[in-house]
Amino acid sequence: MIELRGLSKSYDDGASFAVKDVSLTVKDGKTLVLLGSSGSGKTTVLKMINRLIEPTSGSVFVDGRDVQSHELVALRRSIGYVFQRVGLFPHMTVEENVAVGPRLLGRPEGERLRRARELLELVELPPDLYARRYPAELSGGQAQRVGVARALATDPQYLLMDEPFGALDEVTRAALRAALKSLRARLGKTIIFVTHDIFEALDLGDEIGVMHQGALAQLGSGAELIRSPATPFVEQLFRKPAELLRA
Amino acid sequence: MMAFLLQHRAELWLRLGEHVGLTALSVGLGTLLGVPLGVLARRRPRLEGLVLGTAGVLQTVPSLAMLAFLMVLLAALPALPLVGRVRSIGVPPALIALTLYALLPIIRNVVAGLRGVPEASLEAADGLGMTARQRLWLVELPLALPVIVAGVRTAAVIGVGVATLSAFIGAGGLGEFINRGLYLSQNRLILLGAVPAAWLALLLDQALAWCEASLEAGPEAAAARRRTGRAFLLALLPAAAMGALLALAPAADADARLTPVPLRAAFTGEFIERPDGLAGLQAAYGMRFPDARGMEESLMFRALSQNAVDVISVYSTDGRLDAFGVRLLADDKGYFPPYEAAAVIREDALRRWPGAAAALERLSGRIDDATMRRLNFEVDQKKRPPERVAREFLESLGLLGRAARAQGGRPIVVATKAFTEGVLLGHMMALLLESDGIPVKRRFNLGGTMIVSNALKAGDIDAYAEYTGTALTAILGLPATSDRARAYQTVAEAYPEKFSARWLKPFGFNNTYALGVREAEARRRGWRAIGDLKAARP
Repeated sequence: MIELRGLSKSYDDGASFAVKDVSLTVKDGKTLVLLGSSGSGKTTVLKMINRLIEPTSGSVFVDGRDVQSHELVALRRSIGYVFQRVGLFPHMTVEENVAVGPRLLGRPEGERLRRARELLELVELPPDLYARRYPAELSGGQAQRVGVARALATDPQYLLMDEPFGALDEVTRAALRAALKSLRARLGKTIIFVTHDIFEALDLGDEIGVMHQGALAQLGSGAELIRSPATPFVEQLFRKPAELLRA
Repeated sequence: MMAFLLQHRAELWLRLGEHVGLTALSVGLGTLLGVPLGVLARRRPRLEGLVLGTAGVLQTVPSLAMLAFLMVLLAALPALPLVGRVRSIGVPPALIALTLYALLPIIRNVVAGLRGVPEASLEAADGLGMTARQRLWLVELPLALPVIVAGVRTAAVIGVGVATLSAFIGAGGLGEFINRGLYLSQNRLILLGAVPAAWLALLLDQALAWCEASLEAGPEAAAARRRTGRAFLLALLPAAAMGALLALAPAADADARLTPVPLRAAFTGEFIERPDGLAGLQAAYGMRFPDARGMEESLMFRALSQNAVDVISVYSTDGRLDAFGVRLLADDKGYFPPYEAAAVIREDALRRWPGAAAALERLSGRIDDATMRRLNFEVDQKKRPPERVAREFLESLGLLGRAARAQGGRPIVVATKAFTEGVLLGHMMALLLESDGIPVKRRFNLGGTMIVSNALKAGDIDAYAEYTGTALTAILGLPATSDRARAYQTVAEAYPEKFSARWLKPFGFNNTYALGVREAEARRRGWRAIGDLKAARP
């Protein structure tokens, strides 16, 4: 379980807030989607969970324990993170990239590479074809599949995904979404997924948190948000799916 | 050409080895120091300016000034724990200077390489839970490596060039040939140092370019790797062929018959190359100095007294002999020809100023060996200005009358080579002429014998002090003689025709070459004459 309590981030001593007073809970095995336009603070919230950014006030609890009491490196290794820019290491092959997490944990090389091949199968990249390639030899969709495999390599209970499919074309996104759903069904991970795409949010989220100007405008299931938007902003945002639903 | 190469073959390998060693060692040290400094500079932005600024300032110090400064610094340094006393000449200062020069390109490229690591890779490294150290070793350094190697490559190429200068302080290397060649105006000697040095720079450059390309992944890198590999082989081929040719050519057996003397010797470049210098000495005494190195004359005394070398070539009137406790070994085989100093002056200058010869010859026969040594001592050791020493000496002899008013007309150009005694004699000649009202133009410190004698022949200078032995063998290329009067007579007869110049009567002293050793050691080992060295043990 991940719980945020009154989480805020200000870069100018409280004159303005990138994230303001966000509280929410994600239950084990569930997927929460943070939905918002760019600059709404959703990525900042995500990065405060594994302390890539330190909050100005408020706290984050993972498994009921304040992340400030975790050892930083151990905390990050226990949470999978998928980056918008993927961030594969260009000097490592695909399998070495996937095996980085186990390597940091000191797993022996044979086990690491076996694990890497397993995960490449999982994200539907045949290892015989892709394991020895360098990131520069992959398409955008393939690279992001490797990014997901890398995040899963240490078998973390939690997965933070920061607009992982943001830079991809619609066909690839749909394929990756389907792959992610099947993964989730098999592995039962707890996921926080950041996106600006409403349909992606509706497709993936057990719950959706709408971020607007650093604050959490509304939190609820997709159906709740469409049926009873709490603010004009949320209503505006969900007008299109609502119309589609009516039609 | 081949004969010349064969003659210098053994030394060529030696110098090449020294050069490669100096360059490799200093670039290695520079890398060991520069990489951590670069990482530190990148980590602490406040230190970046300081580190890069310091390395930059070091880079701008002219090489010779750097070497001179380090010599002074090391000489003043007390003995260090573990290391002991660091020698102020030879390899240590050269190595330090070269290492300092290697720092800037390496540090700069480490910083640039680290800066070029993609932000996304750094974010991923943090997000995956790497410690700062893991991030550095697993992500940042590997990604910066091609740029760092490019910095090492720059440092190596600069190093090969600067290493040629370390010959000035007796650190050896290919610069030995260049120095000697410059001093004697012998182009092929200069090339013997310069061409292998250029080749070495080219080879290192290509080899490291190949390393650089090998560190990059991907298809384009493979092409670059092939290209740089080919370029390296292409550069290697002629060098390897030349090397093989030299290595396989039959040995000149002349050297083999000579007894090797296991002493460390330092000679001036001029002494090593002159026909009446080292080669003749070795043949006359039937021995050779395998461990001989070239050294600037100004450094040899300190090198001898600091026990960095055992034997040096000196002039018998050198003012530093007593100050540094140097014993002159007797020339028991009478090998060194006489070197009587006299004023040499162009005939056309004598026609312009008929009184010049008489003015200069007032000094003839007035300076004996001891006097000359004392005058040299005043300048070299007491650091007094040579012009004042010259003037006082002339005044003490009563040779400077009331200064006559300078007459109009083309002045006599008085020149000197670049060493104390020559400069002193030049000042005396100029003062004597001026006291008779003859206008003088001074062109002092003109470098070596060949430069000055060529200038005399061309009429660029009118008069300077020359030595009979030097003129006989080095300038006229005639066989040496141990007969003082005959040597003078021969050069005096040859000069009017060959140089349109006249030898005036000698000043009186004989400044011959000699070998010098430490007085204390000579006493202990019973060395009196050059022949005694033949039986010396290390």
